[in-house]
Order: sequence, then C-alpha cells, then structure tokens
Amino acid sequence: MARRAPAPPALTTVLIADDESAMRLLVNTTIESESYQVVEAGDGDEAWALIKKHRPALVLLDIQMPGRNGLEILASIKSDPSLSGVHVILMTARALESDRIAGLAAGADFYLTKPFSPLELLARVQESLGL
Amino acid sequence: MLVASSDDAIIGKDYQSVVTTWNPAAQRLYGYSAEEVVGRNISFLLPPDRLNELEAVLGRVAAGADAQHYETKRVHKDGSLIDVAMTVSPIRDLSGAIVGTSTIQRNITQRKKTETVAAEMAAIVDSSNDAIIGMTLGGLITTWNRGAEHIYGYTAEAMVGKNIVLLVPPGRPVEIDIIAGMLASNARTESFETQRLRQDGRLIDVSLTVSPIRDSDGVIVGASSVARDITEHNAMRAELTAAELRSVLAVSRAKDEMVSLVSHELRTPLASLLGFTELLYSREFSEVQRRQYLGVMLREGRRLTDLINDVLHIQRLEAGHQDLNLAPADLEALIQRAVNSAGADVLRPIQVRTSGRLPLAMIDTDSILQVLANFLTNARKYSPDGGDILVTTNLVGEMIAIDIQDGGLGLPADELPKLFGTFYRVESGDRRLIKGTGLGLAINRRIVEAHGGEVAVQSDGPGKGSRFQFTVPVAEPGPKVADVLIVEDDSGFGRLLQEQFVARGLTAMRAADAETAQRLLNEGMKPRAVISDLLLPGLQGEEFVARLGSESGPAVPVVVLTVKQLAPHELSALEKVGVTAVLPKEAGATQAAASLIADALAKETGC
Repeated sequence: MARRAPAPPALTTVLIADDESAMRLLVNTTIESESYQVVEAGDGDEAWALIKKHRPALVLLDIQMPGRNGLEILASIKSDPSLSGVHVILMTARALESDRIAGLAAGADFYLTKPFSPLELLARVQESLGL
Repeated sequence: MLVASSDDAIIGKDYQSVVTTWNPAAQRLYGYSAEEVVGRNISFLLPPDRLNELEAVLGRVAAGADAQHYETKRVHKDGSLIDVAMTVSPIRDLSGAIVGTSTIQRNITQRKKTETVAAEMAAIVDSSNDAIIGMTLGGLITTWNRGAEHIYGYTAEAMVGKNIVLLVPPGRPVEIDIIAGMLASNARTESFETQRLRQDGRLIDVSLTVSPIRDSDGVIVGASSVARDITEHNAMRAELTAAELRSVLAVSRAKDEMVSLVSHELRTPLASLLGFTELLYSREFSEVQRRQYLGVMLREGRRLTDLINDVLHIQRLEAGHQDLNLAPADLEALIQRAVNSAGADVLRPIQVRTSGRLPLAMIDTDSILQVLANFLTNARKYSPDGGDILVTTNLVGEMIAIDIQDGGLGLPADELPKLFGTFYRVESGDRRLIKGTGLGLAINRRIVEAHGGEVAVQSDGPGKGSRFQFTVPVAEPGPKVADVLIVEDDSGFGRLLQEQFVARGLTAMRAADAETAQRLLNEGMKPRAVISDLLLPGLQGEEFVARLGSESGPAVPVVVLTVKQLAPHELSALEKVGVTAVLPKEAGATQAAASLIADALAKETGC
C-alpha cells in the first residue's frame, strides 16, 4: 500500500497500550507496516510517558489497565494542546453501549469492542493515519 | 274530662295511701282496672326493694314541700318492672290541711332503654382511638370525641360549633361535599386515604370514613366523619419500600457488576484467540511466527477454559449446590498430596511443617485439595523473585488451621479485606504480568466456609510476603463405626461403592487415601471388610493391604479393586498378604465387589 500523503517525521509512531501481552502481539502483528514504527506500553503510566515522548500519530488504547486507565489518558491527550493531532482508537472488552458513548464523547476516533476483527482494526488504523 | 282523657296515669290517694281515683291511663300503665284498685293501699305497685320510698316522699310532702318529681320503678299487674316518672302533689282541704296526694305517672321504660344504649354508644365513641366527629349538613361540628382531641389536637369545647373545613388542607375533599356527592349519586360510603390539618399545623395522613346521619324519618341531617391516623403506618410502609428497593437495587447492581466482569474476562482471551485465528487464516506467516501465535492461542484457550470452570464452580458454590462429601481425612497426607501436585520449583520450594499428630479432619478431600492447590499456586505466582513457601498446621480447639506463608510481593493493608471478593485482583505494577481470573481466592473462601471454617490473610506490606490461613473442622474423636472401609481416592467411584453397600444393608466409610485408612484403623475402627484401590495418592494400596494383616488383628475379607494389569507374581504377592479377591475396575465392578463382600459377611454371620 502506498502512502497518499507524507506524514511529518514526528507523527510516524503508533502506540499500542494494553496490559495483555497477547493483545499487544496480536495488534502489533496486525498493523505491522513500513509506514510507521510501533511502540508498546503495558500499563497506563507507561503509555502516558511514551505518548509524551513520541507524540504518536495514533494511540491504540485499552481502557482497563493498571495505573492510568484508557479514558483518563484520552482526556489528558485531548486537554494537551501539544498533542492536538494525536488520533485515538479505543480497544476494550467493556461492551456496554454507555462505555462506547463515553469513549466517543471523550474524543476517540473509534471504539473497538474485544474481540474484534484484525482486518477491521487495520482498516481503522489506516483510516486514522490517512493512509 | 281532663283526668280521664290524659295520656298520663293520674292516681289519687288519701292520707293513708289508699287509692281513691284511677284514670284510664293508669289502667293502661299498670294493667289494673279502677274497680280492682280503688280502696286498696297503693303499696301493691311498689317493688319489694322500694317499699320505703312512699313514706319518704309522703314525709317530704307533709313537711310542706311542693310537688316531688322523681323517676322510679313500679310493678305491672303482669309482674314486670316498668320505669316511671312520678310527680307527687299534695291534696289539701279548704283549710289547707293535706288530706291526700295525687300522682301523675308516665311510662319511661322505652326512654330509659334508649338512654342506656345511647350511653353505651357514647362510651364506645368516646373511648375510640379514631377521631369521630358529627356535623350538620352545613359542616358545623356537633360532636367531638376524645380520639378527635388526640388526633387533631383540639378539645371538644374548642371545636363544637366550628366548621369542619378548619381541619381540611387546601385541595383535599371536605366531608360535607362527600356527603353531597353521595346524595347525588346514591353511592355507598367507602373509606379513603387523605390528609388533615392538626391544631399544631402539622399535616397528618388519615384513613377517612364519611357516613350520613339520618333523623328518625330517614332524612339526612348531617354527616359523621371517622378518621384514623395512618401517618406512622405510611412512614413505615414508605421506609420498608425504600429498604426493599435498596436491596433489590444492590442485588441487581452486584449482578450487573458480575456480568460486566465475566464479560470482560471472557472477551479478553477470546480477542486473542479469534484475532490470531483470523490472521492465520488470511495471511502467510513464517513457521516461527505461526508456532508463536498458535502457542498464544493455546494459552488463551486454556485460560478461557479455566475461567469458565471457575465461574461455574463459584456459581455452584453461591447457589449452595456444593455437594460436600464429608469424611474423616488425614490432613498431613492431603497437604503432601497438594505439594506433590504443585511440582518442583527450585526457586520456590515448598516446605511442610506440621505440629505432630493432628486429629483427622472432617472434610471433602477433593474440595480442600483444590483450596490447598489454589493457595500454593498463588504463593508461587506472587513470588516472581523466588522464595521459600512454608505450610504449617495447628490445632486450634475444634478446628485445624493451615497456614501458607510466602516471601513474595506481599500486600498493602487496604487490599487485605477485599482480597477474597469475586473477580478481585490487586492492581499494581509488580503484578501486572501475573495472570489470574480473580476467582481463586473467592472459590477458596466459599469452599472453606461451606466446611464451617474461615479464611484469613496477613501481610506486613508490599515486598514482605503474604500469609494465608484457613481452618477446617476436626472429625469427632473415637473409633469410627462402619461395616466396610473403602480406600478410594476417586470420590465419584467411592460414592458409587458406598451406594452399593447401602443397597445391601451395609454401612460403608470412605477414606480418600491409605494414610487416612490407616489412621482410622489405628484409632480403633473395626470394619468387617476392607475394599481398596491400589493406585493411591500417597501410600500405595499394595503397601496398605500388606500392613493390614498385622494391624487389624483377626483377618477380615480384603478386596482389591484396580485398573492395574497385574502380573502373576504381583497377584500372588497380594494373595500372600491375605487379599481375598482382586477385581478389575471396569463396568459393573462396584456391584461385583459389593456382592462379593456382602456374601462373605452373610456367611460369617450365618456360622
């Protein structure tokens, strides 16, 4: 797949934040691409540190994690002007409609309920990155 | 003539109280004709207890008193007593001297009866706790009982003559309007709930019954209002409803949480399983990658299975369906069994230190084995840097306490009370790589509590290790009594055997291992037969039956039931130590073994 628009170098990172190693492996394998680098975080605090450090173009964010939870991180991203271009896709096993609405209302691009199709995840990632 | 036509009896008497005149009304009143009584002393009309009355009245009349009015009783010709009102006046001659008396007498029996009933009614109304108020059709209050004083706070003096609307808060129905409505629609009176205003301004809830008051011609002339104060009753009802609602909400919230947790815990491994399946199905991967992903899938699939088993188990425990197969058991042997199944781990060795001779515990061995396994697994799991694990036992009264101490991550004090909750997991950085369903300790707690024991946890804090404890009851001391001793570690098979013996009129006790069986025999149990498995968790069946001859005194039938394919020399070895029969564990084995033993015992008693 060809890149339609070249992204600035600072935005070529995708962060996967999930406390389940199996999920990180699955997501990493699914979205693996030469178009961006992928970094992983295993809890909320590590995720926030990596977001501040890499200013990723996209964060694939689990909600229930030790430390800061996904919704808290999403709120922090949205209230930080230096992170205004960061896209967020929530990935969560919380399947209630109210969770979904809360996630989207907080500014997530998309909300994927586990289990989800890896092909759908890939499509959403490419959509968010404008690939 | 006036006297003759009077409705009142008029009787004239001379100074000697002899009847001189007797009018028709007197005849109607007393039943005697004038002919019968004129010339007789009036005393025949007096009831025996009132004979003095005449003299007293005459005395007062003679003393110059005016007409005497009084109520008294007289005797009718038919012997019945009648209430009469009397007016006694002197009869004077021209000189003014009293020459006799005239009495006017009226029958007041009916009035007296009415008065009595009315007095009773008044007493009932007055003593009622309900507010009973009478009023005119215009709403003017005519009667006000003590209940009304109590409920509304006003006295009768204050309210009689006032209008009923004083008690009616705005927007509430007024009694007289209700009566008017009833008149219009011909409806019956029904009680209903409304509110009334007390003297102190407080609104009270009342149950109100409004009825019309009719005069003797049946014309409605007023209304009665009966009110019962139900403020307290309503408050209690409201409180109860609120409490019920709260408890229903709490149950429903707990259920929601459980569903949400289960859903989350099920979705997580499913996401990996399905995700990798889809990837493997749609893309090409190297052999190394393929194997890695399949490994993850296998692990997550197992995790899912464990989770489902745990959820079902806890569901069963919560519904109270845990079928405990309680039997005396040697706890030390059981702990050893749990330690052996935990396997070797050089970084996290398990040491067992028991306090000498413990009494037999009264437990379901399978369940307590699971409790031990869960605690030991946790102890190792939460000791990522290694450390010794120590299991100790102590007799505390009627309970045996088992402690499992590790030198692992430890627990902050505020987590300790929550630890045995369903799906509860401690969230901290050093634990996030350690997987668990959050159900193990919840299951342990329920199993232990079903035994009548308790669970507890202590930790000096993070990094200082944890100590879990549970207690189980000891078995009744003294020799156990049963016809047959079954040594069988499989509880299902053991139960089948027990049922076979019961069906043949024999009692049977199961020991889950040979150690327990030996303890039972050492403590004086004298079974009439023994049936044993060979493959047992600790001490093996061969060893156990070999010791039987020397330890149980006189030989009893010993039957071995085993899946083992025994070589001829092994069979002969068993025969040598006194085994009566060796039966294969196959379909029908329990019936065959039970019949064999029952027959042998029948012969024995037949001798």
